[in-house]
Amino acid sequence: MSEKIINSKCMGRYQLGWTMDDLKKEIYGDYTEESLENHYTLTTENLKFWILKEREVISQIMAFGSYSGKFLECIGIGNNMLDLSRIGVRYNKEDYVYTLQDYPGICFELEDIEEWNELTAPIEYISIFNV
Amino acid sequence: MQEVPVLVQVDHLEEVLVGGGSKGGSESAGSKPKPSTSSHGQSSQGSVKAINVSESKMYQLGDHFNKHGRGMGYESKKAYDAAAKEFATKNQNNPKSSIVEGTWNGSGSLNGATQRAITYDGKTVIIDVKSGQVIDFFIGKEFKGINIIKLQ
Repeated sequence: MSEKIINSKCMGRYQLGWTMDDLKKEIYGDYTEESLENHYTLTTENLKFWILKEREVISQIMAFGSYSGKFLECIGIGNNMLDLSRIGVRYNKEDYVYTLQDYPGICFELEDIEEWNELTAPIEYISIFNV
Repeated sequence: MQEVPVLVQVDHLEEVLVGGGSKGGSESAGSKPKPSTSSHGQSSQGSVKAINVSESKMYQLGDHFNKHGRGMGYESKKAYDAAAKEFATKNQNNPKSSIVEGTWNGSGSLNGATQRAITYDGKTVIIDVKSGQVIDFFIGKEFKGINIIKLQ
């Protein structure tokens, strides 16, 4: 059974709001750390975490690559916006990401394929964040 | 519902760049941005430090070509991408261009990234400061989603 992606809450076992220490105790495998203006980031093979410098808690988690977790038990990396529409989920484009009208705290980014089309381009990144 | 990031224009260039001040920390990935007071792009002489524009293709090239590139008259994604890189390379050294920088406070893969917007002759290119990747290229001067400081 695949891990659950829950908007504004968790990406599998990783929870928004965890501290950097919580994360480092639980993180699986190698990771790289980076410092941005307002965040630290930790990147593993399939996940990236944003940790607010101000409060040292996770504010966003992004899945990519071969991450197999699912949102609503059926939408994961490689699905598309048509799949979301088919299960009755309404979405909006907000700048570079797609957000869901009825599920705040999650967004999707699409892969830049050759014949790019909003409905059929595969989902490349899924991010959950605090709202 | 996620709040849509808003543009914050800082007019007092000298005060912001020289005086520094508190960092604009966001409450969450989707929260309303606060003005940033960083000065990544400023050299010690006060001129704008150029970015090495990356050879990697524009972020979301297909989408941006459909949204902007066709309307700008480019016949292909490749031509649009090449024009964006050329525009960025040329105009970041152009004293007549307007250059601003800020942190993207929207959600997703670009969250927290420092971006630079270079505007000249009615066109704007957005570059990721760290990687040098072109993010977007369009007609107009819209900086929605980044808290900007003016570098030039």
